[in-house]
Amino acid sequence: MSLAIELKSIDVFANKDKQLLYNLSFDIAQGQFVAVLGENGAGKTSLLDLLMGFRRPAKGSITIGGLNASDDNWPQRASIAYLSEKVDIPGDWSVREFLSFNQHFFSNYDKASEARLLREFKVEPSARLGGMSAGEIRRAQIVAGLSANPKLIIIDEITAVLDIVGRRLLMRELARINKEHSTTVVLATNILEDLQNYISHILMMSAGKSSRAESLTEVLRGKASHEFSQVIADRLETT
Amino acid sequence: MITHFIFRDLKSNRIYWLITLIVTLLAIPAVYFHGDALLLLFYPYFFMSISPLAGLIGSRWRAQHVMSRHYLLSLPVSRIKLFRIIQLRAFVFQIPLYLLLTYVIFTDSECTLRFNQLQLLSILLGSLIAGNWFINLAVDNAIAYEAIGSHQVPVKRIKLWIALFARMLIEILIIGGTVYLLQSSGANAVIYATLAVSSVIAVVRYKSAQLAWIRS
Repeated sequence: MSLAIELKSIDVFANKDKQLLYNLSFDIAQGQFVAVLGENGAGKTSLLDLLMGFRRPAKGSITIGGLNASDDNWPQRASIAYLSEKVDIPGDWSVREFLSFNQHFFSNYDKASEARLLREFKVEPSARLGGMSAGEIRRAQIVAGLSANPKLIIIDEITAVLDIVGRRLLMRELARINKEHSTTVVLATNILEDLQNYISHILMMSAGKSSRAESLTEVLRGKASHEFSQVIADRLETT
Repeated sequence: MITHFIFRDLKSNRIYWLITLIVTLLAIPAVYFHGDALLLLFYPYFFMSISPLAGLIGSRWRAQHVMSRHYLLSLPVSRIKLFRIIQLRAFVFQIPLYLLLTYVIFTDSECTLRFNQLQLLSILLGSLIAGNWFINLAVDNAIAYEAIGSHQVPVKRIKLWIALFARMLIEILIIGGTVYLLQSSGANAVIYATLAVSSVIAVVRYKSAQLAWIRS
C-alpha cells in the first residue's frame, strides 16, 4: 500500500515578512507519479520541505497516508525515501559505510535491491564519498533511498546533477517501482527531457500557489507527447 | 539507536580519541612532580569535548566533512528523540573531562580539601550541569549564527548579533558566578542554591536549543 498526500489551505512563511506558499490545497492519490514543475522561486522546494516536515505550516493541515505529517512521532516517515541535493554525507565515509549506517533506520531495507541498484547505477561500494563527483554521490544516495522499499518517494531536483545516463536510469527505476508497487512518487525538477514518458500527473506551481495535480492528458490537451516541453514552457510563461 | 550513532562517532573521530590517549599518557608521569599536574589535561579534554559538535547537529550548509542537517532530519526518528541522542553523543566526548574532574574532586587536592563528601558530589553534579549547558549554548549559538547570516539587511544582522551576545553574556555571568560560588564557598545553602539556579538555566537552554534545532 503506497501513501496518498492531502494538503488543505496551507500557508508557509520563511519569516514574518516573506510568505512561501499561499493557501495550498491539493491531493495526490496513491500510486501517482507526480512531477512538480514551476519557475525558479515558485515554491517547489518549499513544498517538498513541507512534506518532509522541514518546514511547518502557519495554517492548514497536511496528511500523508492519512496521518498528520506535522507530528513529531509520525510513523510514516520510515516509508519515505527522500532524495535531495541537500542530503550530504561526510566525505571520509565509504559508500558501504553510508549504506550500512542508513540501512539501520529502515525496517523494510532490502539488501538484494541494494546489490542490484549498486550494479545498475555503477556505484563502487568501497569508494570514498569525498572522492566522488556530485552526480556519483547522488547515485549512492539513490541506491540507499530506493533499497528501503519506500511507499512514497520524494525527490528534490537531483536530476540536474545526474548525467544523461544516470537520469535515465533513475527515471526508469522510479517508473518500475511506481508501476510494480504503486509507490507514490513526487519529483520536483526543472529538466523536462523525456519526463512525459514516466510521469502520470503534473503539479504546476507559480509564486507559491498551485491548484491541483493534473493528469498528463489534461496538460497536453490533445497535443502530441513530443510537444510536452513546449506545452509546459507556454503554461509557465502565461501563469 | 543510540549505540548505532555512538559507534559511528567513535569511528569517525578516532583520531581525536587517539590524540587524547597520547596526551593523557604523556601527562601521567608529570603527577610525580606535582600533584595537580593532571589539571593541565583540562585544555585538551575541553577541546576534545567541543570539536565534534558541528558534526553532531549536522550542517545546514554544504560541507564535505560533515553530515547535513537535512539528512539527519530526514531520518525516520522522532526529532525530539534525535535531539536527545545528540545530547548523549556530545556527552561521550565530554567523558574525559568529567573523569578528570572526578579525579581532581575526589583526590586530596589543595583545591578540594575544605569540602565534605556531599559538597564534592554537588560540585561534580554542578560540573555536569554546566557541561550540558555548554553543549546547548554551542548548539543554540551555531543555529543562531546561521539564522543571522541568512538576513540580508546589515543593520538587522548587527541588532541580532548584539542581542545574541547580550543574552550569552548574562548567562555566562550567572553560570560563571555559580562556578565561583561553588569553588569559594563551603556553605551548603550557597552550593545548593547555585546548583538550583544553574539547573534552571541549563533546562531553559536545553529547550531553546532543541526548538531551534528542530525548526532549523
